[in-house]
Amino acid sequence: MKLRIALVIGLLALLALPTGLALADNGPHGGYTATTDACAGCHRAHTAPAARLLLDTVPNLCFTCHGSTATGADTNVEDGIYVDRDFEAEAPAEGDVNRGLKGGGFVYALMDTDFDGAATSSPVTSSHLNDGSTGTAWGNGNIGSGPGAANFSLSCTSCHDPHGGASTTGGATYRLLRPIPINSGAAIGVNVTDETDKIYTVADANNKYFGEGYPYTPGDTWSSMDQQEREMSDWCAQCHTRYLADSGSGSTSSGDDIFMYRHMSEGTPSATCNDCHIDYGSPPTLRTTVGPEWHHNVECMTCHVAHGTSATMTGYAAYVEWPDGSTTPDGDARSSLLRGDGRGVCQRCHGK
Amino acid sequence: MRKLILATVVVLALALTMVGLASANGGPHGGYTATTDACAGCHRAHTAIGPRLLVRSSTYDLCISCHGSAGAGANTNVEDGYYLSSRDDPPGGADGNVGAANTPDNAPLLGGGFQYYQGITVTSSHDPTGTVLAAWGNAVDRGTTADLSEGLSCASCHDPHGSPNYRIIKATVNGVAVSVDQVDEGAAKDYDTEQWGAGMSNICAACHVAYHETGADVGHDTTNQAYGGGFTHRVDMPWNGDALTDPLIGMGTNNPETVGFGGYTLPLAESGTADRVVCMTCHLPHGTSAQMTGFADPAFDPSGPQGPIPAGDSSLLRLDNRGVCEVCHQK
Repeated sequence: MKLRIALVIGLLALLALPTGLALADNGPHGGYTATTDACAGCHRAHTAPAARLLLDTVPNLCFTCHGSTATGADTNVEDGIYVDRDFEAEAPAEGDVNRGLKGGGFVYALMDTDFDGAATSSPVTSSHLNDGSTGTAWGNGNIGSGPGAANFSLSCTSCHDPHGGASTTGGATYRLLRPIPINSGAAIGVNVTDETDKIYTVADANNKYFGEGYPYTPGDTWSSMDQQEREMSDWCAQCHTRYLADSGSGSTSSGDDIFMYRHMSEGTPSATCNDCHIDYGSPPTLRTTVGPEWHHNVECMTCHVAHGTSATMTGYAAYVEWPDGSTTPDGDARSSLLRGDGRGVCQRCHGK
Repeated sequence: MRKLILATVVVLALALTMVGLASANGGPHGGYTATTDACAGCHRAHTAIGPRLLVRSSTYDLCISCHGSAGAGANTNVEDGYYLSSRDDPPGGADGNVGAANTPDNAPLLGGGFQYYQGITVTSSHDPTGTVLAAWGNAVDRGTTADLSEGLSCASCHDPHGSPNYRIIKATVNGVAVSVDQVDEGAAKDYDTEQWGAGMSNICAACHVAYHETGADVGHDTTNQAYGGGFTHRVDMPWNGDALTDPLIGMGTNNPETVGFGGYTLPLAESGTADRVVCMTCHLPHGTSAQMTGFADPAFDPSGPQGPIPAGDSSLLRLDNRGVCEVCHQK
């Protein structure tokens, strides 16, 4: 009798379990049950046209849902906008329809890069590779190891684990980010904490990208956001090793011949504490002028987007040498995934 | 409320960045818009080879990359003390030629030169290479020196991000607030003929305050005991004196700027109005090639309080020997 009661209780418990046991990153990306259907979203056991039993090669497979004309995912990463097109009705909403995606776009981006309060969809001027082709991972490697890792192949799955549960402990990570990006050479994984509620679009209705501070969810505390922002920079540095720099690195040599003095990319710029704080009580009193544009940490994502930008470069900003000393490509192609035209990202903080 | 705060922050940020609160003195020096490219003229965010994220290993090396003898980004060659209208081409940009409308090609610069001036090796100059220097009268008695608080570089006096002062002189130099009229901006820029306004001596006084004595009696009356007592040439006075000038001083009759003496002239500030003798009337701020011989050679008097002054040192004077005296006093 007791055994029967225990079995009934156990079965009831199983039925009560949520179908997405781990934090599901939408679609077929994680949170699998024992009888998940998700595998069929991307694989064919016996008739797969692409390696690893895929329906298509990466990134084409990814674009069948996340592409410009796809219908399987709301995140259109080719055009860098959020559209309401998949079969799910997200609650709470995970983005604002027709607003720019936080990462920008791979082909087009909807970004207010000149800070005039308006944005139009424009071709990207620089982006991370996503089709498996090769480039240089600038700054990859230890001090003194040259400009970076050449012939570095990059695709969507280099950074994102399509199966979710990517953390070193099997849990979810922010945007399915792998703790060790493929080919990065990193030895220790970096888990970027996932959002509690997914928000895929920028906060500003006019698509101003600067001030996003990333990842950031309304309701986050400063301390939790600090941790997540540091994790994000640590993760970028899995590939761009020598770009990771603490406060003071702008006047303290790293010892590297190329990445000798570096703008901080991880940490709080203590010199600007008074910009936001009147006092430092618990909780500290903030000035009334503080808004979401000001974030606690300066990190990679403060200035750069992850996928691609439509920022334009002219004058001095168009002719900045690459870390290997080469001078081409130049012009707009030198936009370095920045969130603003020229050196607008510098001006937003330094205000010269 | 949140939107209002955000809007306020954005408006304030835009206002601060788009007014161009400091004068744009050509090139990357001020007048920045919200999306300026100018930062990339001097800085690298991640691949800098100099402190403060500079593209050169020192401030002087950076400045010289445009303003030096072999520079290509500025018309003003401060190493050789010449204006060169064939330069001033930022990469990918139009030929700006700031000041070309008013400054002849190869004209000697108003400030002198750090290595050469008018084709001759300088005999004295301010050393802008970052060395901590002792400045004469730096809040100490005249004839004595005190170290500056930091190594002297171009950026000790000039603000590369622009300033409201003449020639982007910093608003604070050596810890001293400096205000000097900004003149000849934009199309009026003139690098070989001075258009000086008020406050020119304030620049020098930031480091050499003991010499910035403007009272009528400082040259002849024992009542002035500041900075070691003794007497010192009055500064910032009209060239032909005023009601307080000792009539025994013996000024010449010709305006030293418009007429001069012996074929030489000297620049005055507030020309045509106050016609003031300022520090730079007699001294060049960057460097001079004036020759000192005979009585004018400091080696003639080796008993100075700091020991012998190097032979031939010309104290940044504009003219050989004591030509600067003669142009005004016309003896």
